[in-house]
Amino acid sequence: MSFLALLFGLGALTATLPIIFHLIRRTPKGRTEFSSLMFLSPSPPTLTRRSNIDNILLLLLRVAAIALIAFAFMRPFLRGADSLTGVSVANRRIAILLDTSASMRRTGVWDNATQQVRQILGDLENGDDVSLFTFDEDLAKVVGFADENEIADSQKRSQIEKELSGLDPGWGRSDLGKALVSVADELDIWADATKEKIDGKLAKLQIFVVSDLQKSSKTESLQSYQWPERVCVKFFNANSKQKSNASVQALKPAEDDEQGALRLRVSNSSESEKEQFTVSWFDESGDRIVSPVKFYVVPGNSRVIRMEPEDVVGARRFVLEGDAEEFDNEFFTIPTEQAEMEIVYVGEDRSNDPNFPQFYLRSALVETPTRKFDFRQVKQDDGSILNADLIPSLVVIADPPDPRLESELNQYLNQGGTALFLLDDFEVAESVSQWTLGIPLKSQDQNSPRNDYRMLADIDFKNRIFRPFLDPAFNDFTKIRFWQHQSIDLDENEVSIVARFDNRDPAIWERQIGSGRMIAFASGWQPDQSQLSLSSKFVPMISELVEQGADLPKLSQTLLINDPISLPTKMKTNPAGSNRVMVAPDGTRFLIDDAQENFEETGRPGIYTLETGNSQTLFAVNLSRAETEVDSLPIEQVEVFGVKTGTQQTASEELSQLRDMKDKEIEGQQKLWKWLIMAAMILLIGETWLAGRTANRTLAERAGMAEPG
Amino acid sequence: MSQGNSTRSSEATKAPGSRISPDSIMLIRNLELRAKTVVQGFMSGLHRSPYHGFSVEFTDYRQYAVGDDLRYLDWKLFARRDRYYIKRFEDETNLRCHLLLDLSNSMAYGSIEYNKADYARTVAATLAWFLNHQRDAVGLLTFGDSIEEMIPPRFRTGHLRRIMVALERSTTGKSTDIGQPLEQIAQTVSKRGLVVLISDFLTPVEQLDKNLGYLCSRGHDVILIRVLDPTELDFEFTQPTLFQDVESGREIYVDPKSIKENYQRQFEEHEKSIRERCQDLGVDFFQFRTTDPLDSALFHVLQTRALAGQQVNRANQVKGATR
Repeated sequence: MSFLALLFGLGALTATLPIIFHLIRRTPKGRTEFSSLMFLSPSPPTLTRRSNIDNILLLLLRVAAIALIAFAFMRPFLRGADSLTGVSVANRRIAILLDTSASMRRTGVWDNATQQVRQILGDLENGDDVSLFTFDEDLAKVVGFADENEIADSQKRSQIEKELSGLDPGWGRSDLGKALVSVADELDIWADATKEKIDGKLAKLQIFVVSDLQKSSKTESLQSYQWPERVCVKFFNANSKQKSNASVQALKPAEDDEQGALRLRVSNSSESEKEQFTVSWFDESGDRIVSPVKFYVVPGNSRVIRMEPEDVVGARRFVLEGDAEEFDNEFFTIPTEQAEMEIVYVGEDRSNDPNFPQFYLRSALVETPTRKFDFRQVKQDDGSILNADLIPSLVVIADPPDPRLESELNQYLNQGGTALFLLDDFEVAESVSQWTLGIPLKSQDQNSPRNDYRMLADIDFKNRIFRPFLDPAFNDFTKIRFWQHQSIDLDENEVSIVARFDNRDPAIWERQIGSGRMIAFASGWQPDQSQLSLSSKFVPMISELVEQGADLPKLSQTLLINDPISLPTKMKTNPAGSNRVMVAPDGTRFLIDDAQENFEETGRPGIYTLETGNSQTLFAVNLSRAETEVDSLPIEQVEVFGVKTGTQQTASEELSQLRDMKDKEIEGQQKLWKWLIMAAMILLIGETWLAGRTANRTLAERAGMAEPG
Repeated sequence: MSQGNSTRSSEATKAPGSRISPDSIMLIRNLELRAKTVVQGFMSGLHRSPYHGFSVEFTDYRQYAVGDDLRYLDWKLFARRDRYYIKRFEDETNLRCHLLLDLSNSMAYGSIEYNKADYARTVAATLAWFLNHQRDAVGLLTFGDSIEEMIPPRFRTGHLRRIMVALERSTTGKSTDIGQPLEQIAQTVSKRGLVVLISDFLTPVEQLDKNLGYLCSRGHDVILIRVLDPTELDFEFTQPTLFQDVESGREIYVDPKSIKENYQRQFEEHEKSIRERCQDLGVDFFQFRTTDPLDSALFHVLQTRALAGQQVNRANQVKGATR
């Protein structure tokens, strides 16, 4: 016999109440009159016991009636053979997503996380297929599913535990959205593919996310993703009780700050318990430069501290002290140096004459804290392109070069130089055709009236010259009119056309010569030829050209963990026969191929050094600021994107549910409780009759005793 | 054995020997006869007592001094002793006695054949009979929660009968309000007299305080006679039961074994505080069980009065000597 509601069995205990009431009773309420109660205080009621049972049959009837009612409430039924024979249920396919972002380095968080993963593994049932993924900015599969690895279920857990003990949090930024989307997609695709194999049973797809769930974790990927209904996600928050955190970050000098003072921003988390901090800075050798600076930052706020330029000379590392969590207390920087760039102008025109291009070239390149320009004019019989001290960043050819200059130009280009040919004249265009590969035609546009003009068309905005104008807000070139240009007959297979005029004539093109590069303009930028020098596009274009020529590395302050470092490719930084080596902050040396343009092993914050022969180029890589923000992410914010949170039933839970349903069905058919209630009613009727009979007899006996005689 | 004692004389004297059991006295239905029996038995015992000479009217002599009224010169004594003595009387006027009898519901309580009210009536009747026969004016005031009967003190023919009838027909009231009769006496009686208050005093002590003090300040001599049932003192209950207040009807469940000690302690504290108040005010206080001989009450009252009289006489002697 089985029961649907076994707990009601406790109700059978009430069957003892009649016995207790019978044996234990309260003292009868006799009444005694007394003159005054002013000196009396109430006593607690006392119970007295008696040990003999007066009417055992009556008592048994009452007990049996109560027991039967309790028994009926337990909803008994008779179960036949195992009702679930032949029924099988699907097991779960579980992906454990373990956060390995930098914020997991906080005290106790990683231990919590690994403990929670072990807890998940411990709660698994036989047949559950589990895999382990780690994620920060990227998703990595540590242990795959059974059908991928062919690892037996029994070994899977030990395999995951083994891998888990070898894992450590990295320095990357957490991208929860990307990780969820990738894993949900993988589970969904697997469920679609294996639909036939699992006999049409619903696949139970589960993701367990073990993370510190920081608010700044990226979830944008979820916005454009249709979350699969059958994938459930459960979040395990590995946060420790310690919520204090502060971080330090160096900012660029303010634009209106003529001194160019470095600024440090210190942010304090909203749940922080600390307010007082100290910043120290250290030079290349690790020595403290000046005494530490103390300041207060209210929790939830940030504060920017201005550092005098003379105080931070040579500073490589800023360290925040007084914060409980150390993972984001360092910021690396390299001193900003003013790059000196030489511009060689080959032409006869006067530098102060606004009718010639040199005037506009000089005007466009203005000295800044990071750049300094050294202009040099070279004429037919005066000066040379190559300089012993400084290799020019850009050579502008505005007049035909003589044979001496031609050989120097070739040498310069072969060394990796950048030359700009300004074809504002038929003669010039013809004389430089060996480099430009363009034969000038006598054009009817030449000396054409001002009311006829050409505009730029087919601009290649991916080219570095036009890359600053890639944004649609800046790519309108229709207001730049070209009054005169050279029609060039060009072998377009040998060159790369960057822009054309609206009559399809090539306007700007480039070509590789040796290690260097040639760029040709089919028109001048002075006002009698075009409006280019007067437009707002001119300065960015020329600056980009010069910087390309100088091949300056990008400013290191903007590099974050896992950002690729753009490597300088120019010949001057890679003398023949010397290897390029990148030294990571932990001392690891990476050999760089000649063809390699980017260095991507930037998974650790610190100063990376590119060694080329005797020269060194430094890059500072820092933690993402978002990763230092450790406020908690509300789960509702993830659910808004349609992510289904919760847990899938385990196989045993599902079996239990099925069994319960089957039991209810059997009990509903048998309805034994009705018979039990009926039996209880009969007993109660019998009890009433017996009690009445006993009472009558007692009364009769008393009456008999009362009568005289 | 008498429980009565005085705050003035305390354990000074014992009542004279031969006593009639109150059980027997109470069998006499006529109250006047009962009072007469008590007084006569008391008086007969008094003759055999070494404590003779107690009386409300005690006479005294002092030597004659110039200026004394010659009407009070005792010529017979002058004849025997050849000296002048002035005859002095204890009181030059008749005593006016007010008997105040509490007949509230609590007085109807009794664990023996008669209750506290019966005993108190007999005490009052005894005093009234005795004083009447001494030619003193006696009045009666019975009260419960209000004044039931009021007979002013008189000495005339039929007055005693009137008091006896009033005592016999009086029934018990509800609760006790001692303040009201005391206030009534204080307001209406201007002439000095004796006030005898008979009650069980099972009320808060504060009720007594103000009016007793007022009476004393008006020059009255006050005597409090407390009548208690033996059960109220000994609390000889054994079974846990519901106790019902006979005045208010309130019921509480009480286990006597567990609270007896506490009850007796509180009862004694209450009694002690009454005694202290009386002592402060110069009021005589006597406490009787209903099993105590009835003439003890009379004896103790007279004894107290006698001692008071002696004190008055001595005061007068001193006063006379200085003249």
